[in-house]
Amino acid sequence: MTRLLWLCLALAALLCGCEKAKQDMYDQARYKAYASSPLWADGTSARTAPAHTVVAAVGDSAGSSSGRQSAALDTAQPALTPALLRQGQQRYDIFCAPCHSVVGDGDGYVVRRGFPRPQSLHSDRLRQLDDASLYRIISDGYGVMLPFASRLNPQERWATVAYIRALQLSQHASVAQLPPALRQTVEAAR
Amino acid sequence: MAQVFSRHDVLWLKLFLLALLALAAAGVGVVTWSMQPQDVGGAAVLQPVPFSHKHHVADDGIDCRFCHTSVDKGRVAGLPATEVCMTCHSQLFKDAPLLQPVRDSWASGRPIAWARVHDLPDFAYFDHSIHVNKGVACMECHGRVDQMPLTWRNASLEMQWCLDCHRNPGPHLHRPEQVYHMPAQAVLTQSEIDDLLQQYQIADRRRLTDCSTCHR
Ligand code: HEC
Ligand code: HEC
Ligand code: HEC
Ligand code: HEC
Ligand code: HEC
Ligand code: HEC
Repeated sequence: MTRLLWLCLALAALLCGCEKAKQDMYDQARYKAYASSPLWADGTSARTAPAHTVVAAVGDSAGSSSGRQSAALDTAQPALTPALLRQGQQRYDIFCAPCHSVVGDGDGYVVRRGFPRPQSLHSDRLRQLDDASLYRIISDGYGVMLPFASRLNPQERWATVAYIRALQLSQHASVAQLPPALRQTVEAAR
Repeated sequence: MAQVFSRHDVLWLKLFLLALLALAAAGVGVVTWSMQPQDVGGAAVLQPVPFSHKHHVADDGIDCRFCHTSVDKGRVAGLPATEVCMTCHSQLFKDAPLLQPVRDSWASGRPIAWARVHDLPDFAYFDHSIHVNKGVACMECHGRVDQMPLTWRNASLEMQWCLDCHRNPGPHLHRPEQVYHMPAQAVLTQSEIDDLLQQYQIADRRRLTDCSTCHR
């Protein structure tokens, strides 16, 4: 009798193997990112905040700060550091260079394929534009350029602004501003 | 003792037993076959808009992160919102019939229903950011996406495939600036691999092959 019981148990264990054919743990009853859903009118399971929501807490610690980490703090301009510039360069090359080109003259690949050509970032007008206006252009868009607010977080937008300043300086520095070592090489080459 | 079955019956009995055996063998065969991965990949998946990585990545030089924004920040790489397409296609190919679904989606706010090319079982945990930030290039897993007119799956995504790399990730590593690049890099020498392993502080083999790393 016990032998039969053991045999039944062993046979039952074989049932585990059926999962691979049955697949009901492969597709569990939950939504993965970007899954569609018939529950809502727009057909997606990803929900956005209702219209006119006032953001109280944002950023990495929003969830744990119960609103103390305010939106204003998150959008404040960070201090200029080499790390910020490097981040700005990376983001600029990904998100802006397709149109504005890596050097900022507005001759990117997409422009060559027929997108309206933006003004060079090295014009006097854009050099004089203040940081806050540049930040606003990235966040809200400008003319035919769509906003980047959903793709760059505030910190990344400030980093991009900082890098645009560096790009502009690279084309508009006087010899007197250079560090002494560099100045000597330039003057020797004259 | 008298014979129970006639000779004639014995033949039938033998044939019956043989058939039973053959049936069992066939059954095992069918079940094994049905447990194979559905398709190993290589077949292009039809999409609502015939989006071409070949044109956008290879010809226009657009970085993966322009569209797959969260690939270096989180678990999922993310599929581009309609707004991302409209960044360029509000002006380029403004009236092309091919792009009608994109314009409809922009007007109505209903996202484009991209068909999934990759789909891991829900019991496996995968995270893009750790791979990408530790030098595993997109190409290692997704193949030459820049040459795909329509996207297809390059790897089987079976557990064996994950483990093959997790047991010895060294030869699959790339320098940080090579991670988003598509053409293959020059083969690294052993000392360069050792440098990269150290630079990325790759965890030991035990940790990478623990069941709970991927089944959590
Ligand atoms: C799809 C192409 C495209 C991309 C990508 C793009 N821009 Fe633009 N940008 C334009 C065009 C075109 C204009 C000019 C808009 C107009 O005049 O209607 C413009 C205008 C601007 C201006 C204002 C110029 C002026 O004349 O006042 C700034 C500043 C700017 N862009 C910065 C950026 C930054 C920073 C990024 C990256 C985060 C970026 N752009 C990404 C196409 C683009
Ligand atoms: C211009 C936007 C854009 C760029 C740039 C882009 N992709 Fe995509 N990608 C898409 C869209 C849209 C889809 C969904 C349609 C499809 O699967 O073809 C997609 C799908 C994919 C998929 C399949 C996703 C799935 O369903 O499982 C992979 C893998 C992928 N992209 C990798 C890459 C890599 C690697 C790069 C950089 C070399 C890249 N993409 C650059 C827009 C883009
Ligand atoms: C950064 C600019 C840019 C973005 C973003 C972009 N495209 Fe394009 N797209 C182009 C350019 C440039 C072409 C022309 C390609 C060529 O001729 O080399 C193009 C061509 C196309 C075509 C025409 C057929 C073809 O492949 O040549 C389709 C369809 C298309 N894009 C779909 C999309 C979709 C869907 C998205 C959003 C996921 C998207 N594009 C995002 C720049 C962009
Ligand atoms: C270590 C292997 C690996 C690397 C490296 C990798 N991917 Fe993936 N990718 C996967 C797997 C596995 C999936 C399926 C995930 C799922 O189904 O949950 C996937 C899914 C995707 C998807 C579909 C959306 C999603 O997140 O599920 C996109 C888009 C994508 N990858 C783009 C990229 C890009 C761009 C890169 C390079 C920056 C990249 N991947 C690097 C393995 C990888
Ligand atoms: C081409 C190589 C490669 C492939 C293929 C690959 N991985 Fe990885 N994976 C790595 C490397 C390298 C790391 C980083 C190890 C570390 O943290 O030091 C990693 C880390 C991980 C981690 C995080 C481990 C931790 O420390 O928390 C998970 C989870 C993971 N991989 C899951 C997967 C899954 C699931 C697959 C198959 C779908 C897969 N990987 C395929 C190379 C790979
Ligand atoms: C590197 C990541 C990784 C590790 C480590 C890992 N698995 Fe898996 N496992 C996977 C993935 C991915 C799948 C899904 C394969 C598929 O698509 O069927 C899977 C599938 C499975 C399955 C389902 C049957 C099958 O083969 O598809 C079982 C059972 C399983 N794993 C057990 C284990 C056990 C036990 C361990 C520890 C010894 C382990 N896994 C370690 C990634 C991993």
